[in-house]
Amino acid sequence: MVVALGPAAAQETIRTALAMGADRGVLLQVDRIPADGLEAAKALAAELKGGGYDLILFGKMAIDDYNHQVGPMVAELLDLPCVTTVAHLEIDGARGTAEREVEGGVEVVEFTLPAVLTTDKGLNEPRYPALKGIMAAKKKPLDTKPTTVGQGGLEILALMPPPERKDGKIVGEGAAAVPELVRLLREEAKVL
Amino acid sequence: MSGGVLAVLEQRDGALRKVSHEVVTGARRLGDALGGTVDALVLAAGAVGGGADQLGAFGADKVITLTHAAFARYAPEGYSRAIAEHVRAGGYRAVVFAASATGKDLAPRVAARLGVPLAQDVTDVGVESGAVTVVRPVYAGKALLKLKLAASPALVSLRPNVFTPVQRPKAGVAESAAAAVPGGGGGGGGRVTVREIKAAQAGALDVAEAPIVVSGGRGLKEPANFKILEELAGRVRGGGGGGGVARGGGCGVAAACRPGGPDGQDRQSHALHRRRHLGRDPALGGDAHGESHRRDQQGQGRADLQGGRLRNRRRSV
Repeated sequence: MVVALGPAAAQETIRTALAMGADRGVLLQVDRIPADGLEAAKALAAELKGGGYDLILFGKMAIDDYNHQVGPMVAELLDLPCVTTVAHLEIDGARGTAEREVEGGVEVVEFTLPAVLTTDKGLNEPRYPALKGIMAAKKKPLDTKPTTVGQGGLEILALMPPPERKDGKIVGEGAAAVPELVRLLREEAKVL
Repeated sequence: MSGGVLAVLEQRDGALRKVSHEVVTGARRLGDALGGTVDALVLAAGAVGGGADQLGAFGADKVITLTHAAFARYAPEGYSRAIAEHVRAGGYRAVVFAASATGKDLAPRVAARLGVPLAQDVTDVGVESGAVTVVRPVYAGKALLKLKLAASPALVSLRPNVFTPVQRPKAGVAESAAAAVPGGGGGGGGRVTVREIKAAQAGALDVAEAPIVVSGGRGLKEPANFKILEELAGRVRGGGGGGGVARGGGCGVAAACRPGGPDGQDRQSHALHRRRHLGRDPALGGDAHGESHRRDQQGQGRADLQGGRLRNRRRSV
């Protein structure tokens, strides 16, 4: 089962997931996605509650708002074990072992199922939606449920461009540039 | 203790991690603006070294160590329950985490337990008319979002390497207590346990935490050439440290590479890229995940482009 919280346009995304092999889809349709990840998590948890899923998978974060929180919040709301940013996964019966990258190493984490996982890039090679899958996806059930989410406790005050970066320096090309580069690394950057 | 701020610190192998001083500095800034005290909290199996006794110098009024047999390594469920309990009991106005791998895992759990919003990976904090405000990069660092947290406590996690530790001498009274871990499956540690931390190769640091980043452009062409960068990184001194590349903790060097082009994501080099191919916005102090996310976005078009891309590849061979 694949579930998404989003506007009507998210149906397309769900259809792609169906074409990749999911059996049915649910769209929790909202007018806008709240800035507060906890509100999104509450809506998703309400839908997933009592579903009897052994494994609930999330991405580690959205590529737009970078909230990086909905997965583990859903896990807490459902009182399920959770491992985030999983880069490697093995499941053996009701137990699982996951690896996640931490600063300066890889954390090996053991957990019990049912569980919530959020995935990191590289966990697997996504299945390619073949034409057969795309055709089959059109016949698979997709429920659209109008959903209301709360305002939450996060208020957007401003969306600003980031400060301009300082210009980089190009010292030239080839062997002739090396002495100048070494000088700058020594005297300006002070790293050598 | 109204107006109090809690700084949640990290230890590894019984020593405080470097990012902890940044967290205390950020918490002190909020504490001053809110007119409250700053408590530094560290969870461990026993006494914590690595500078825990110097946290007073960075602005902690009190340093609290919560100990539990299951807390030697990060225990997601045990930690989040103990912290949520401590926050409830302490009536804090704000709780500050590090936006490290651990902090980004821990903070949402605590937020959900407390039922309050969380702003992750922030690059600035402040207080406006009594409410905590934060700035955080969105859209792969292409824009900054300024948010107000209209809840108490306000939970934030600070992007590493952005908040320069500032000396702000305070009492730094040390306290230690057994952690109260309210019920739940799996005992004090919970149902999720960290079995081990496999250390990365000597000297490899996460790009978000490295004081110096050696980065290569497209001129590197292919992953086989990454070793040029690694050799250079090996010769670059970590800020203020001795020669060579220091391992973890204090100072070190991270190398970041960029693949040859949009098609540089060859299957066999994928894992290497994921580790090395990290975008970084110096103005924001590093965006370890930005670049991989731009690639995520490219990846979405893969289904449509697959045919064309394969043809291109064949031509270029």
